[in-house]
Amino acid sequence: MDSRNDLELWRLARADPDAFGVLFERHGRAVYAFCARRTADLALAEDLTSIVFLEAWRRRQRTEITGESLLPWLLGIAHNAVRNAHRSRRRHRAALARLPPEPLEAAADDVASRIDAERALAGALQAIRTLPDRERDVVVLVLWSGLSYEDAALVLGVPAGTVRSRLSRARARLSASLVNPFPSTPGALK
Amino acid sequence: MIDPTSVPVPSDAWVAARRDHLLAELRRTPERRAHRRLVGGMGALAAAAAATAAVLLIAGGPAASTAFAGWRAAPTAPAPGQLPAAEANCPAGRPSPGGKVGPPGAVPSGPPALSDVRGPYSMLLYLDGDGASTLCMSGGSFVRVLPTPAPTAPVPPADGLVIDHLASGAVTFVEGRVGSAVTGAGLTLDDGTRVTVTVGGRHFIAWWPGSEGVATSTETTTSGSQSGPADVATDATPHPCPSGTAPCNHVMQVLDGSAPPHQKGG
Repeated sequence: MDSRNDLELWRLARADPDAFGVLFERHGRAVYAFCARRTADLALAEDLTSIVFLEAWRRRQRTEITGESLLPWLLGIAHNAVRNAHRSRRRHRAALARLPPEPLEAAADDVASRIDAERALAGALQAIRTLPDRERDVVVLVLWSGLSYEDAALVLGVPAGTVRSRLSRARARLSASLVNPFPSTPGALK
Repeated sequence: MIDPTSVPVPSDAWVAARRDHLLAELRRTPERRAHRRLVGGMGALAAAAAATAAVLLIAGGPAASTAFAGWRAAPTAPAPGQLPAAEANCPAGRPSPGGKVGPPGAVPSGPPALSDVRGPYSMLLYLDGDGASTLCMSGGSFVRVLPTPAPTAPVPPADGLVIDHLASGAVTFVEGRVGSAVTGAGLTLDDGTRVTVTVGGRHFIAWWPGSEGVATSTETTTSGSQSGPADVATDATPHPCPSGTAPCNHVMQVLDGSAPPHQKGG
């Protein structure tokens, strides 16, 4: 486990891809989980994860990170990448085409569980599909991805109070829903 | 109950493989401008960009940023009489809509669809009925008319933006379309410069000195802003058209007779 914090790694990453690699090891899973929850498509989520880090690398020289973690900023990139998944994929298609194939055995073992997971994710997305986009975003960021209000605000570029009120409205809208998309313990889903 | 936690946790092997791929990509071309692609019909526009810069720059002289010292990253209010003068400078002659007759370098008749003012420079967008358009840029003692073909990229989503035409040289021009909900937009260049574009009638135009590519775009709607990788039309490639070659020069018209210093000198 690398003991350097995100800020140190981010500074080093401007000239050192290996430092950037550590950041991927640290946050790649969270970015993937966010993309998976937003798309209910695990293959797309894998592509988007790579896209997020390629974009982050490209912006490294002109991005100053505030706060302790790079994750909110990465999820901000992911947020936009998901919204523009088609053009994001098109833009990075050459790099995505070079992704290593999964081992056949592992892929075969994985098929059933992936289908189940995608079905569950699609159901969860379906449960919140009636929400306006802005409220859906805070549900995914705060409740499903476990970000604080402040970090979610950073991702969305709005005040923390706005995140709080959007979440409140989302809860109210879904209070009558037969399907509860919310976990019992907010923030437990990282 | 639906369980939104059911995202399979990627294995260590998955993370390692993805990390290795990522690092290989980063080392592949560390500082490439991987995302900039020129679009169909852009050979002429690219030549126009290069030629405009050639005209506006003092031969062998200062860089573009010096030559365009009055340029602003955000549109400015026109000076009194600036836009009428710009319109008067653009030689109308082609009947609209869709007319293709008239002198080369003429703009469609009728008022411009958009006016982009940056300091002393004015760029007007004229639309043809057939989807093609003409940019007319003027400032000081020069006028340049830049025809562009009809866009071939799909209409952008309501909150999106697509760059249909991009020509870079010592000057970069962009023209494109925005979705129905977009009220404003900006482009972040590869060097971090943020350029506010002029938006109107679901079109946008902008230009900047230099050849920096477009990294990201930001679209503003009544419900907020979003940023992402710039969507540059990719369905065609530019025609190679070295600056100064005859087939490319025909799109450039020195309309006011003020040849640039290096042309005056031969």
